[in-house]
Amino acid sequence: MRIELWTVTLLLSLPGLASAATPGERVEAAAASGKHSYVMFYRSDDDRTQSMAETIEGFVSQRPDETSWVKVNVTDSAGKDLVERFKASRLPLPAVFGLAPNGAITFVRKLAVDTDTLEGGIVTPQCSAMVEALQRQKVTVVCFHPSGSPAIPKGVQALARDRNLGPQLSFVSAIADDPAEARFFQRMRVERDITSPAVLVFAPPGSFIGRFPANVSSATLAKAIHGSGKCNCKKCRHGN
Amino acid sequence: MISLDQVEKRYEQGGAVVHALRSTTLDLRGGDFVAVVGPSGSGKSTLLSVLGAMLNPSAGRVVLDGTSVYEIGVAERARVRNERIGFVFQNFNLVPWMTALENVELPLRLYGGSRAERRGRALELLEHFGLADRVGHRPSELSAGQQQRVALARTLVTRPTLVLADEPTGNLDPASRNLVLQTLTDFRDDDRAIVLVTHDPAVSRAADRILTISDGLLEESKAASEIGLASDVA
Amino acid sequence: MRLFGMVWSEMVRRPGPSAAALVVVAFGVAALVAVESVATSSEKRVAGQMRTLGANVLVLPAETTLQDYYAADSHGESLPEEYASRITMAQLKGVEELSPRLSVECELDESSVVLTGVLPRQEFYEQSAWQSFDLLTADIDSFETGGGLGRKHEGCCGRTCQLTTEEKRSLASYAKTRIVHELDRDSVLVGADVAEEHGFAGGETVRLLGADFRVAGVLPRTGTVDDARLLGHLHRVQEVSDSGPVVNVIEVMGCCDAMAADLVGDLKDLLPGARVVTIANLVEAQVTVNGLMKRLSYVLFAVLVVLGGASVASVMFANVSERRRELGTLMALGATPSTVGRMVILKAATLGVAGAVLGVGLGAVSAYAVGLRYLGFTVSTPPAIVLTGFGTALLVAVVASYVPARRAARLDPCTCLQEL
Repeated sequence: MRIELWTVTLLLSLPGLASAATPGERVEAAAASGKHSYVMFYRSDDDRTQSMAETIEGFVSQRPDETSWVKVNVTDSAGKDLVERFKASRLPLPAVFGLAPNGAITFVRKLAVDTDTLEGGIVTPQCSAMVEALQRQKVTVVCFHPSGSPAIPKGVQALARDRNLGPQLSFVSAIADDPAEARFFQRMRVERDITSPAVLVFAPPGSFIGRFPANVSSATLAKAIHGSGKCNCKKCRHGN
Repeated sequence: MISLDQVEKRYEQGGAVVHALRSTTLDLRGGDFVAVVGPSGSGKSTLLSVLGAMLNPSAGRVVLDGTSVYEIGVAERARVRNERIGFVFQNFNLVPWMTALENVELPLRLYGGSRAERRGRALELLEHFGLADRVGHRPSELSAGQQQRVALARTLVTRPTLVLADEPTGNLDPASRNLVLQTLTDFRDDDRAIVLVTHDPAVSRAADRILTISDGLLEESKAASEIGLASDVA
Repeated sequence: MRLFGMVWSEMVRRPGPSAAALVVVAFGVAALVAVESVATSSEKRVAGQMRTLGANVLVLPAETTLQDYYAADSHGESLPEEYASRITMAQLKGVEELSPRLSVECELDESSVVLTGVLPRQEFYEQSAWQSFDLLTADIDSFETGGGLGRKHEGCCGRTCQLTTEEKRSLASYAKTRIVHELDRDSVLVGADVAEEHGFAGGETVRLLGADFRVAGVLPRTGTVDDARLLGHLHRVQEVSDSGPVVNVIEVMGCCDAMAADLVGDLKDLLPGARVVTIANLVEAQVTVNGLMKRLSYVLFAVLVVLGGASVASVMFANVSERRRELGTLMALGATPSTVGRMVILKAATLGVAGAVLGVGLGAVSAYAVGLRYLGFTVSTPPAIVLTGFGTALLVAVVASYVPARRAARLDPCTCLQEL
């Protein structure tokens, strides 16, 4: 894997060869470098397309270490894999997707985009893990820990061991004194000076089930998850 | 049997009082066969109606088998009519859409009783009158004589104690007339009373008593020839 | 019953005098029953549609006219499929399901069938999932501030609900939702009537528009046009029919009736080039007609009362008059005045009931035939309408015969002795 990364990076650094990479490959390379990508689809180079392109270009040029972007014509075979992945030929165009390095889609916008949206599409590593899990149809339990205390609450641990619910769940942790996750705390409205863990539960594709204290029992969590009507465990899928 | 005690019937017509029946006293017993004669408008129908418990007199009492028929209720009076009085009409007055059998059964049907009993009694009478093969015929399919025999059977089906006959032979041929008279005579012989209104001298001669009525006044008559039956009744 | 026996015998043996009144009563009742049946069945149908489809909104090409909700894709016009994505991406509150459809005619075993392309629910979920982050941040914000879909609608889940119960995944749910949960590109689902006609049970291969499809299953009977169709994946149907990325209609299922009005407004703003209608709009004309029919039934009721009553009264007066001698004879034989009066009323009541029997039968059959031939739905006659027909006819007949009955009861039995 590392060899491949180096290979791609080397190849892309060679003049003339970078432009030969397909948009899909360029997105993969950006992800490999830990960058967020903006994938813009268009059909014709009209005013809207140009406006969107300028906005994205302007933003990315100010954050070259964090972001990159590609512009894909839906009729061009070079971008066929991205067009098919996002069914772009059936979208109102131009349209732009924000992708985290782990492949999670952080936003999608049609016809126009602003810099606030582009900014908001840059998420922390744990946040992108949460979004990616939700996009895999997993109920996601996010533990926000106080500084220096990454211990997973017991109730959450017990929940992970639940035979019915466990396979439906994904777990993410963020620690208050990790500067990389500061924005995650802020976006999830969790105070960074918490003295005990806060447990937040989300159902796919993106609904907030609840916030629980550190001493929450697995039974309480399970009840909240089943009761949300958004659980896909065997019990809920069979309508029990 | 039946007695009229100073019975009167008055009508008011255009301000004037018409005496349809003037103070009449009459006693009839079982076995009496009385003919009533008189000109048209003399009060014969009024007398029959009063005797038949169909017309309330203006004064006096009518007592039938101990019952003062105009001092009881309408429903009870109708029942008395049904059980104790029989009518024989000049035009037979059969119900046109009923068969001969149904016509004869009719008086019994009005007050219940089992169907088998009614039917049996009606068939017995129709057989007696020689109409056993006509039980299912409607009046329009019978001759005048046959119709009158059905009417007679209907009259007798309830075994009344009093029979009131209104020109029963008026529309009949001689043979049928004789049959009617014979039937009425037989009835009289069964200790029942008959009051017969007629213009026919031969019929009135069959009676034991003849009453003459004129302008509402009833008188016991002398011989039939003395009252000119054949001529002055109009 | 002896009285009824006499009355019935007389009516049967002398039907002429009563026939006219019988016909008037029967036709009056028939008209009332037929109109009421059609109006009631239509109201029920509308109510049923409102109940099942009340929260639904149709997005149609601008110039289409529509009569039948279930045939909303049969008009031949099209709109871009991207409109469906616009709706998804707009994050409109209260949108529970989305069903874009494209219908094309094709041949199957030398007979013409309709192949309808539908987008499975899973694909709608996938598109919704692209907006996970936006959805959850909005949810957290609204949770904090006290707004949002979840607070407004207990039990509604909008697009954020992706619970895939067995019920949702099974084909049987199609009868209720008209949404297919999963369908791969080379499969078709077959409507109940098509399956019956061609003997499909699942697993067969069919050739449609030059491409082979596998029959993945048979849909449950829905009582709609879908029973006579095949369903394929929308994008595959677009490919084989060369139609491009277009659809005939986008059906938007709201989470509840309360959201439908807001949804209509939002969709009109979002898609100014399209026509947005609700089931309420579609049934508006029918609701108006139903109202008119109800008013017509009141008029017919009044006509039945007046004409039927007049006819019965006239017949009974004539009957009493022509049977004077007969009724007088009955009284002479011992019938009481009340017996004679009851006979008249009983005869009128029998007329009324007989007229009602004929009228209800005629009315029910007529309504059924009209429904089948002209309205496209089954018209039934509820017991309440039958009772109304009977009750009205009986009451009218009895009331109309009251005066003739009194006249009969007052007949002088001496009329039998009148020839003296």
